[in-house]
Amino acid sequence: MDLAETLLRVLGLARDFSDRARGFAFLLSLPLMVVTIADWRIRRRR
Amino acid sequence: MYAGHAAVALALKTRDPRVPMVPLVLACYGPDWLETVLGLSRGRGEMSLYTHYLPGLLAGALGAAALYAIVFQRPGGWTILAGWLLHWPADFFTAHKGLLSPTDRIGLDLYNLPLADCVLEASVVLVCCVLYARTFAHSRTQRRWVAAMAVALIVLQALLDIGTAQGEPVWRPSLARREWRTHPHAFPSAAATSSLRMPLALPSPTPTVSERWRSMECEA
Repeated sequence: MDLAETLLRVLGLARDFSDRARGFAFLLSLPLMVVTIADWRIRRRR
Repeated sequence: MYAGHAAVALALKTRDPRVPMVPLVLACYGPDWLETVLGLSRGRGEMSLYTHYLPGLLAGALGAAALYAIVFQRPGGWTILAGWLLHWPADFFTAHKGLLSPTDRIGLDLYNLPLADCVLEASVVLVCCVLYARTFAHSRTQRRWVAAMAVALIVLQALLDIGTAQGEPVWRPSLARREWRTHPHAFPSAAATSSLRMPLALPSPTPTVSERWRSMECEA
Protein backbone atom coordinates (compact mmCIF):
# COMPACT_ATOMS: atom_id res chain seq x y z
CA MET A 1 0.00 0.00 0.00
CA ASP A 2 2.90 2.36 0.75
CA LEU A 3 4.32 1.76 -2.72
CA ALA A 4 0.94 2.50 -4.29
CA GLU A 5 0.59 5.65 -2.21
CA THR A 6 4.06 6.85 -3.16
CA LEU A 7 3.35 6.21 -6.82
CA LEU A 8 0.04 8.06 -6.70
CA ARG A 9 1.60 10.97 -4.83
CA VAL A 10 4.38 11.22 -7.42
CA LEU A 11 1.74 11.27 -10.15
CA GLY A 12 -0.16 13.93 -8.25
CA LEU A 13 -3.26 11.79 -7.98
CA ALA A 14 -3.34 11.01 -4.27
CA ARG A 15 -4.82 13.88 -2.35
CA ASP A 16 -7.12 11.72 -0.27
CA PHE A 17 -5.07 8.67 0.51
CA SER A 18 -6.15 8.82 4.13
CA ASP A 19 -6.73 5.89 6.43
CA ARG A 20 -10.45 6.40 5.85
CA ALA A 21 -10.11 5.99 2.07
CA ARG A 22 -7.94 2.92 2.55
CA GLY A 23 -10.43 1.50 5.02
CA PHE A 24 -13.27 1.97 2.55
CA ALA A 25 -11.35 0.19 -0.21
CA PHE A 26 -10.53 -2.64 2.20
CA LEU A 27 -14.20 -2.83 3.21
CA LEU A 28 -15.26 -3.14 -0.42
CA SER A 29 -12.71 -5.85 -1.15
CA LEU A 30 -13.89 -8.17 1.65
CA PRO A 31 -17.27 -9.25 0.14
CA LEU A 32 -15.58 -9.47 -3.26
CA MET A 33 -13.08 -11.98 -1.84
CA VAL A 34 -15.75 -13.95 0.04
CA VAL A 35 -18.05 -14.33 -2.96
CA THR A 36 -15.26 -14.98 -5.46
CA ILE A 37 -13.61 -17.71 -3.37
CA ALA A 38 -16.94 -19.38 -2.56
CA ASP A 39 -18.12 -19.26 -6.18
CA TRP A 40 -14.81 -20.67 -7.40
CA ARG A 41 -15.00 -23.55 -4.89
CA ILE A 42 -18.64 -24.31 -5.67
CA ARG A 43 -18.39 -24.16 -9.45
CA ARG A 44 -15.13 -26.12 -9.49
CA ARG A 45 -17.00 -29.05 -7.96
CA ARG A 46 -19.79 -29.14 -10.53
CA MET B 1 -26.07 -1.25 1.43
CA TYR B 2 -22.98 -3.33 2.07
CA ALA B 3 -23.27 -7.15 1.98
CA GLY B 4 -26.54 -6.83 0.06
CA HIS B 5 -24.69 -5.77 -3.10
CA ALA B 6 -22.74 -9.05 -3.09
CA ALA B 7 -26.02 -10.88 -2.63
CA VAL B 8 -27.46 -9.07 -5.66
CA ALA B 9 -24.45 -10.30 -7.66
CA LEU B 10 -25.23 -13.88 -6.59
CA ALA B 11 -28.85 -13.49 -7.74
CA LEU B 12 -27.75 -12.02 -11.09
CA LYS B 13 -25.31 -14.89 -11.55
CA THR B 14 -28.22 -17.32 -11.54
CA ARG B 15 -29.83 -15.32 -14.39
CA ASP B 16 -26.70 -15.38 -16.55
CA PRO B 17 -24.05 -17.95 -15.50
CA ARG B 18 -21.78 -16.94 -18.39
CA VAL B 19 -20.71 -13.75 -16.61
CA PRO B 20 -17.60 -14.29 -14.43
CA MET B 21 -18.16 -13.57 -10.76
CA VAL B 22 -15.40 -10.97 -10.27
CA PRO B 23 -16.65 -8.42 -12.84
CA LEU B 24 -20.21 -9.06 -11.70
CA VAL B 25 -19.42 -8.28 -8.03
CA LEU B 26 -17.30 -5.31 -9.09
CA ALA B 27 -20.27 -4.00 -11.10
CA CYS B 28 -22.68 -4.42 -8.19
CA TYR B 29 -20.29 -2.37 -6.01
CA GLY B 30 -19.39 -0.23 -9.03
CA PRO B 31 -20.46 3.23 -7.81
CA ASP B 32 -18.59 2.65 -4.53
CA TRP B 33 -15.38 1.59 -6.30
CA LEU B 34 -15.68 4.50 -8.71
CA GLU B 35 -16.18 6.84 -5.77
CA THR B 36 -13.04 5.43 -4.14
CA VAL B 37 -10.92 5.81 -7.28
CA LEU B 38 -12.19 9.28 -8.18
CA GLY B 39 -11.96 10.27 -4.53
CA LEU B 40 -8.18 9.92 -4.68
CA SER B 41 -8.02 13.19 -6.55
CA ARG B 42 -11.07 15.18 -5.38
CA GLY B 43 -12.15 13.71 -2.06
CA ARG B 44 -14.43 10.72 -1.66
CA GLY B 45 -17.30 12.63 -0.03
CA GLU B 46 -17.70 14.93 -3.02
CA MET B 47 -17.28 12.15 -5.58
CA SER B 48 -19.89 9.95 -3.89
CA LEU B 49 -22.53 12.54 -4.83
CA TYR B 50 -21.68 12.23 -8.51
CA THR B 51 -21.17 8.47 -8.70
CA HIS B 52 -24.46 7.71 -6.94
CA TYR B 53 -26.98 10.14 -8.43
CA LEU B 54 -29.08 8.82 -11.31
CA PRO B 55 -27.27 10.38 -14.33
CA GLY B 56 -23.88 9.43 -12.85
CA LEU B 57 -25.16 5.95 -12.14
CA LEU B 58 -26.37 5.51 -15.72
CA ALA B 59 -23.10 6.81 -17.16
CA GLY B 60 -21.10 4.47 -14.94
CA ALA B 61 -23.30 1.50 -15.83
CA LEU B 62 -22.96 2.11 -19.57
CA GLY B 63 -19.19 2.55 -19.21
CA ALA B 64 -18.84 -0.64 -17.19
CA ALA B 65 -20.95 -2.66 -19.64
CA ALA B 66 -18.91 -1.35 -22.57
CA LEU B 67 -15.63 -2.09 -20.77
CA TYR B 68 -16.83 -5.62 -20.00
CA ALA B 69 -17.80 -6.22 -23.64
CA ILE B 70 -14.41 -4.96 -24.85
CA VAL B 71 -12.25 -6.78 -22.27
CA PHE B 72 -14.08 -10.11 -21.98
CA GLN B 73 -15.45 -10.37 -25.53
CA ARG B 74 -18.41 -12.43 -24.38
CA PRO B 75 -22.13 -11.96 -23.71
CA GLY B 76 -23.31 -10.60 -20.37
CA GLY B 77 -23.00 -6.85 -20.79
CA TRP B 78 -26.67 -6.41 -19.88
CA THR B 79 -26.10 -8.26 -16.62
CA ILE B 80 -23.18 -5.95 -15.78
CA LEU B 81 -25.40 -2.98 -16.62
CA ALA B 82 -28.19 -4.34 -14.40
CA GLY B 83 -25.79 -5.01 -11.51
CA TRP B 84 -24.49 -1.45 -11.61
CA LEU B 85 -27.99 0.06 -11.87
CA LEU B 86 -29.33 -2.07 -9.01
CA HIS B 87 -26.83 -0.37 -6.71
CA TRP B 88 -29.14 2.65 -6.42
CA PRO B 89 -32.34 0.92 -5.23
CA ALA B 90 -30.28 -1.13 -2.78
CA ASP B 91 -28.63 2.00 -1.37
CA PHE B 92 -32.01 3.74 -1.17
CA PHE B 93 -32.87 1.56 1.81
CA THR B 94 -29.71 2.22 3.76
CA ALA B 95 -28.62 5.79 2.97
CA HIS B 96 -29.53 8.96 1.05
CA LYS B 97 -28.80 8.93 -2.68
CA GLY B 98 -29.20 11.59 -5.35
CA LEU B 99 -31.96 11.72 -7.93
CA LEU B 100 -31.49 13.97 -10.98
CA SER B 101 -29.33 16.38 -9.00
CA PRO B 102 -26.49 15.23 -6.71
CA THR B 103 -27.95 17.25 -3.84
CA ASP B 104 -31.56 16.02 -4.26
CA ARG B 105 -31.05 13.01 -2.06
CA ILE B 106 -33.62 10.59 -0.72
CA GLY B 107 -33.43 7.33 1.18
CA LEU B 108 -34.58 5.39 4.21
CA ASP B 109 -31.22 5.83 6.01
CA LEU B 110 -31.22 2.41 7.67
CA TYR B 111 -27.45 2.65 8.24
CA ASN B 112 -28.46 4.81 11.17
CA LEU B 113 -30.80 2.10 12.46
CA PRO B 114 -28.07 -0.57 12.63
CA LEU B 115 -30.28 -3.41 13.85
CA ALA B 116 -32.87 -2.85 11.10
CA ASP B 117 -30.08 -2.55 8.54
CA CYS B 118 -28.53 -5.82 9.69
CA VAL B 119 -31.89 -7.62 9.53
CA LEU B 120 -32.64 -6.25 6.05
CA GLU B 121 -29.24 -7.07 4.59
CA ALA B 122 -29.10 -10.50 6.24
CA SER B 123 -32.52 -11.25 4.71
CA VAL B 124 -31.32 -10.17 1.26
CA VAL B 125 -28.19 -12.30 1.65
CA LEU B 126 -30.19 -15.36 2.72
CA VAL B 127 -32.74 -15.08 -0.10
CA CYS B 128 -30.06 -14.57 -2.76
CA CYS B 129 -27.92 -17.42 -1.38
CA VAL B 130 -30.93 -19.74 -1.58
CA LEU B 131 -31.47 -18.71 -5.22
CA TYR B 132 -27.77 -19.27 -5.92
CA ALA B 133 -27.77 -22.66 -4.18
CA ARG B 134 -30.81 -23.85 -6.13
CA THR B 135 -28.99 -23.13 -9.39
CA PHE B 136 -25.37 -24.08 -8.68
CA ALA B 137 -25.08 -26.10 -5.46
CA HIS B 138 -26.27 -29.66 -6.03
CA SER B 139 -24.03 -31.62 -3.70
CA ARG B 140 -23.76 -31.39 0.07
CA THR B 141 -20.25 -29.91 -0.15
CA GLN B 142 -21.42 -27.22 -2.51
CA ARG B 143 -24.31 -26.34 -0.22
CA ARG B 144 -21.86 -26.10 2.69
CA TRP B 145 -19.82 -23.57 0.74
CA VAL B 146 -22.96 -21.55 0.01
CA ALA B 147 -23.83 -21.62 3.71
CA ALA B 148 -20.29 -20.54 4.63
CA MET B 149 -20.51 -17.71 2.14
CA ALA B 150 -23.85 -16.55 3.59
CA VAL B 151 -22.47 -16.66 7.13
CA ALA B 152 -19.33 -14.74 6.12
CA LEU B 153 -21.37 -12.02 4.40
CA ILE B 154 -23.76 -11.69 7.36
CA VAL B 155 -20.82 -11.53 9.81
CA LEU B 156 -19.22 -8.77 7.72
CA GLN B 157 -22.51 -6.90 7.73
CA ALA B 158 -22.98 -7.35 11.47
CA LEU B 159 -19.45 -6.06 12.16
CA LEU B 160 -20.16 -2.99 10.05
CA ASP B 161 -23.44 -2.35 11.88
CA ILE B 162 -21.82 -2.82 15.28
CA GLY B 163 -19.20 -0.27 14.26
CA THR B 164 -21.93 2.13 13.12
CA ALA B 165 -23.85 1.69 16.37
CA GLN B 166 -20.78 2.79 18.38
CA GLY B 167 -21.13 6.28 16.92
CA GLU B 168 -24.65 6.87 18.37
CA PRO B 169 -26.29 7.30 14.95
CA VAL B 170 -29.35 9.49 14.40
CA TRP B 171 -31.95 8.10 11.97
CA ARG B 172 -32.92 10.66 9.30
CA PRO B 173 -35.05 9.06 6.55
CA SER B 174 -35.98 11.36 3.69
CA LEU B 175 -38.40 10.78 0.84
CA ALA B 176 -38.91 14.26 -0.51
CA ARG B 177 -36.72 16.91 1.05
CA ARG B 178 -33.61 18.26 -0.56
CA GLU B 179 -31.78 17.80 2.71
CA TRP B 180 -32.63 16.99 6.29
CA ARG B 181 -33.38 20.02 8.44
CA THR B 182 -33.86 20.44 12.14
CA HIS B 183 -37.11 21.71 13.62
CA PRO B 184 -37.30 25.53 13.31
CA HIS B 185 -37.09 26.14 17.07
CA ALA B 186 -33.54 24.84 17.00
CA PHE B 187 -32.37 27.65 14.71
CA PRO B 188 -30.38 30.40 16.46
CA SER B 189 -32.25 32.99 14.38
CA ALA B 190 -35.58 31.77 15.80
CA ALA B 191 -34.26 32.20 19.35
CA ALA B 192 -33.06 35.72 18.52
CA THR B 193 -36.49 36.82 17.26
CA SER B 194 -38.47 35.16 20.03
CA SER B 195 -38.61 38.40 22.02
CA LEU B 196 -40.25 40.14 19.04
CA ARG B 197 -43.01 37.59 19.02
CA MET B 198 -43.84 37.93 22.71
CA PRO B 199 -46.03 41.07 22.37
CA LEU B 200 -48.30 39.06 20.09
CA ALA B 201 -48.99 36.45 22.75
CA LEU B 202 -52.41 36.41 24.37
CA PRO B 203 -52.72 38.59 27.47
CA SER B 204 -53.19 36.96 30.84
CA PRO B 205 -56.75 36.02 31.81
CA THR B 206 -59.03 38.89 32.85
CA PRO B 207 -59.80 39.30 36.57
CA THR B 208 -63.36 38.16 35.89
CA VAL B 209 -62.28 34.89 34.39
CA SER B 210 -59.68 34.35 37.09
CA GLU B 211 -62.24 34.95 39.77
CA ARG B 212 -64.60 32.49 38.17
CA TRP B 213 -61.87 29.86 37.80
CA ARG B 214 -60.84 30.26 41.42
CA SER B 215 -64.41 29.76 42.56
CA MET B 216 -64.77 26.66 40.41
CA GLU B 217 -61.57 25.29 41.88
CA CYS B 218 -62.94 25.74 45.37
CA GLU B 219 -66.15 23.95 44.46
CA ALA B 220 -64.14 21.03 43.13
